[in-house]
Amino acid sequence: MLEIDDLTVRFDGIEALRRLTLVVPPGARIGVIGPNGSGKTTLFNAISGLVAIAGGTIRLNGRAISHLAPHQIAASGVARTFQSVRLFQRLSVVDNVLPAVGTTRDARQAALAALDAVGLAARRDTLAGDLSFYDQRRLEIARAIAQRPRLLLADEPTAGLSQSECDHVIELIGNAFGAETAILLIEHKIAAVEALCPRSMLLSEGRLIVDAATSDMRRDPRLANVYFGTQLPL
Amino acid sequence: MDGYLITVLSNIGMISFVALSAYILLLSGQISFGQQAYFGIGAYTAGIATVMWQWPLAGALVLGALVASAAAGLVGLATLRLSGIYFAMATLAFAEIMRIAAELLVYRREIGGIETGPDGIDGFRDIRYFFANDVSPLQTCLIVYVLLGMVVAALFMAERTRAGRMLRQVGEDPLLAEVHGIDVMRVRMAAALVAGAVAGLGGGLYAHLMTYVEPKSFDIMLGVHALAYGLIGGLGTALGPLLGVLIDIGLLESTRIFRGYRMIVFGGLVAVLLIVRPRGLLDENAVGRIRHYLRRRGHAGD
Repeated sequence: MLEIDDLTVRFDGIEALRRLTLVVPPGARIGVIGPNGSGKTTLFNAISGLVAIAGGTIRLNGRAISHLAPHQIAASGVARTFQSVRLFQRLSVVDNVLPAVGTTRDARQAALAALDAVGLAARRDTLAGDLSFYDQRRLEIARAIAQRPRLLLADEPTAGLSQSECDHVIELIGNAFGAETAILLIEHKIAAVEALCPRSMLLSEGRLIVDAATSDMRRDPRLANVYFGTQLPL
Repeated sequence: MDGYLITVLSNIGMISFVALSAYILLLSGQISFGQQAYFGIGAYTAGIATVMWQWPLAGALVLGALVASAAAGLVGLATLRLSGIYFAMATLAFAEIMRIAAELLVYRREIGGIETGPDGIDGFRDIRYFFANDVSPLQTCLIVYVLLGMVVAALFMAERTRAGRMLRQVGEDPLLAEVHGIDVMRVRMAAALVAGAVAGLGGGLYAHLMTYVEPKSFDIMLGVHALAYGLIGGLGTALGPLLGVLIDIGLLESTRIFRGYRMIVFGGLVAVLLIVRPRGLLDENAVGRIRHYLRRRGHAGD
């Protein structure tokens, strides 16, 4: 479904992503891990069209999307959430979730169903900025649900949450999207990745260095190596 | 009704159009210092249409709005990719170019034995449609408010549609709006076209009520005021800019309570509000609370 071939992204001479190749089949759930600066968010930005790519191709369902505008990529089925919650703070909860594409009646039903799925239906008229941080996180997920994406890019959806909130959000993401929706999940908590993603990828300095079953990743010496710079006696 | 009151009310109504025009762009996240240009384009166009081509008023007002909208579209093509201070500067520069162009505009013809038409820096005199058709000041005031009411009603309805929601989404966070599937450039262009038309319609009314326009009627001060009205009155509803106009013209100017110090008070008011209430008196929070209250009262009455 998503095919990335030889993708390179450069910022002022620094290669944020180096010749990254990746295939995401429909419905796949893949964890994306790696230390700060390893290129995880840049990968998401490149897929969603927010940064220009310096080389390589990105295809969604066989169609090259790397030259499309972000709204066109979104319309072709890519939804995303942001590492620091990004909402329309001055709009109501339901107005945040109403998708831009689709007929009005359809969109409204999708929005209400999505709010219901994350447990925010009762707060639909509250301004998004007045929600608690946890509710804002859930609202971001509701927005992605309402878009009915074929690919979800979830950028640290549990950042800043307590352990139980974190578990709930991961469970929510696991249940709310259909089996045909592929999910890429950026996460630092390996337990959260394990709960959602059977497969995961380890990035380091813009390169994909391990692509393996998440259960194996946990024990892979390269994981400790990229995070701590040395192999720890675990 | 007393003549002075009618004049004040008419002024409030006419200036409300340019305030709404700036408000529409503010909603899309763009600060324009140039909406007075479209007000001026509407004024000259509609005036030329009734005086020199003897069009009926309705046709002239529509033409003024369309020409202003088209001009806004052309300027939009050049400027809408700019943001923040650059957009503000570009719109101001364009408006000044238009004002200077109006100073150079001489289009004189003999109509009914009298030479008339825009005469450069001396302006365009004798736009006497209302006088010639025996329309009283009270009636002209009503015309202004009927048209203003239609524009406000249309904006109210638009706010409840997808277009209105997209406009606010783009205004608050264009990047998020893009990722959410919204074509930000298209939304901004639509906002510019509508804002141009609204200002142009107000300008057409202005020319006919004043019977006289000149380039300096459409200078930067009008544009600054237009912006300030939304920022004072609030960006949560189309009634916000109208409240701003009411406070400035209805309270500060007409009552003359501050005499020559009006501009100082007005400027101070803008500064204070920008600090304590950056989105104006009727901001999104206030509007949300009012809606909530009205809905509760509505339910209580069931």
